[in-house]
Amino acid sequence: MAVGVLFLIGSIGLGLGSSSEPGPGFFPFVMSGLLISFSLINFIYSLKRVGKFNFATSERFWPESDGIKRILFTTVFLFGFVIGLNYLGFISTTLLFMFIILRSIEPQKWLTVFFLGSLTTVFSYLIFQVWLRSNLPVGFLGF
Amino acid sequence: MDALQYLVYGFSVTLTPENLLLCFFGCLMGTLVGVLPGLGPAASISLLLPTTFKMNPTGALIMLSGLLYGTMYGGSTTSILVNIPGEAAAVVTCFDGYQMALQGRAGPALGIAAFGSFIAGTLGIVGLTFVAPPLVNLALKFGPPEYFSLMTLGMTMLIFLASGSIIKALMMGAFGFLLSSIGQEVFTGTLRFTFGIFELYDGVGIVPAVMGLFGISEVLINLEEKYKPQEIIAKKIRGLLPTFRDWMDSKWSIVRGTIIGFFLGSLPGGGAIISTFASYTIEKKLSKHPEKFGKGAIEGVAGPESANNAAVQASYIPLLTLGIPPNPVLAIMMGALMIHNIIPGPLLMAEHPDIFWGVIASMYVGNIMLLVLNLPLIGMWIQVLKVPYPILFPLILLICLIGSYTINNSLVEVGIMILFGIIGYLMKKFRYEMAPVVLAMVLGGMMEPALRRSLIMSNGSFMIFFNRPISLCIMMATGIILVSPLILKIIGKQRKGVGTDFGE
Repeated sequence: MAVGVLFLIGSIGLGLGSSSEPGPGFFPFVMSGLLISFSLINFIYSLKRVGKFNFATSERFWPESDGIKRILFTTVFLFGFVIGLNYLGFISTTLLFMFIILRSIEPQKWLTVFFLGSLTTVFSYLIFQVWLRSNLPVGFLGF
Repeated sequence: MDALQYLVYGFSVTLTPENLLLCFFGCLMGTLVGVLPGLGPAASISLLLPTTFKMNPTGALIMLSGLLYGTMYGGSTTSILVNIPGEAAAVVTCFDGYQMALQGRAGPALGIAAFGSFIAGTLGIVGLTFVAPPLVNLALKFGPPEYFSLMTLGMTMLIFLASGSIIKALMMGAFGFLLSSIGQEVFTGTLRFTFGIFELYDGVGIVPAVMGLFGISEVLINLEEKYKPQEIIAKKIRGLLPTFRDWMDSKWSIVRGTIIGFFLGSLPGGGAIISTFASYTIEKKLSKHPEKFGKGAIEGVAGPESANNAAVQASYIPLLTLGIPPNPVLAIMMGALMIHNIIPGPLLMAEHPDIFWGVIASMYVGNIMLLVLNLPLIGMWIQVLKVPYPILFPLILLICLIGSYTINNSLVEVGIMILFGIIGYLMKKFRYEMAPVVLAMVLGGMMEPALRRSLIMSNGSFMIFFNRPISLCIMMATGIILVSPLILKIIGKQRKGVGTDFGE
């Protein structure tokens, strides 16, 4: 079960370890070595367990397809926010993000979507831009 | 008597309108975060971090501390009323707190949780007030080898107290150390693993990592299941004051919880969550009627709730005296101080007495505020609990997004946070612990220089960690912890089936 992640982490560990030089690379080298050996031990353990593992009675591991959809879309929207912030500026992106996410993941009434989306945008703008003066990005539209 | 004089000075720092307001705001936010499931202290302190950049450091730490111990109060409310822990240190409170609520005793359960928290929190601060100054004197004798040993001990403790597989926790520790080595290296300035990305030159930010691991991933996990409105027991809560009988039943639980919490909290690698489990186990073992546990025993609420508050106060000891954060939450606190160019450690008390004593004094005040916030105003928090998750989660996501952006005004940091969110989600699925990663990320930046300085001092001999008395003691303690699972296994084989199992 954990094999996928194990290999991923293990391979990152390998890649990092080989690029190290004696001086600055000493600490990462030791650590990547440890990571790889622990991964191997864990891998062997999980191999042992696979034999005894009863797939029929065990709890479902991955969520059902609706759940996966919700998670995937949310992740896509998160990355969309980053890209949007670059081009559209803070206000439009936040507004869009809130509208889309409120309407699509667990659909709310349109009234709720508009009301809540606008409210959070205004509030977050007031808090971060006006009060804390953290330079929120401005889009090509000028706001 | 010195400590008392300083404490009076500390109160003079705290009792300004500005700092009192910050303390109150921190406590209020803390209770809110505690009540809302899915947002823990680590993520929410990172969220508030950008707001502290323009404050003075004392005020900043007072507010963030208020938030931290506030969550300990708020978390129990959700556990008792909805059977969902408001945050991780309140998991144990569900066992008996919810059962009490089912029996119509939600009032006394909430009451004893708040009073227990208050008593333990206050005693914890008293302990902090008197233990910290002598420790500072000891800490001044520490050199790089001692620091390295101590951090090794901290990591070992954290890993071995982890709830899941030890091997997995070890892996996560090593993973965190690797993450910490990203960026410019201290001694020679060599760039490591930055892949030419400018934002990585300073290393992977701890704040986006924490927000991703603890904030985003939690939302993703919750999205797996379709939302169902939660049932809140007891629409109206009567009789918040526990009866005389309740007090008699729980007084020793509170005392024991406080002691356990204080000890586990002050150790590097310990913390609030572990102390609640320890307290529950001990209460059950000592009880005359262990069969009542899990069916609404008031001791099962009083003990753990006291323990987590005492632990939180005690966890400031290693940070304020040694400059070593004992757990991820305190690591972010340390980050908050470092932004103001203040390095927590043995010199903090001498160089910045206003911060050191001001924060300690503010904790006394904050605990009183929290008692008021959590008892008479409990109705308000129940209303908060009714906010449905589909409305809540976009807000959490948005705050995380903006929060991670405002730290350095960089979109790369936002990307890093989302990435950590996905990693965190997978880690939760595969039952890997988050805490070792975060702590290793923070400690890595301190451990590596300490290790290399020690090795330079000793011309490359690792014996330097065993030649110096303080370092030797710490290393021996580490060794004992390392071997202890083996010993426990042997004992466990001799008498099978003994011990308390909490399940997942």
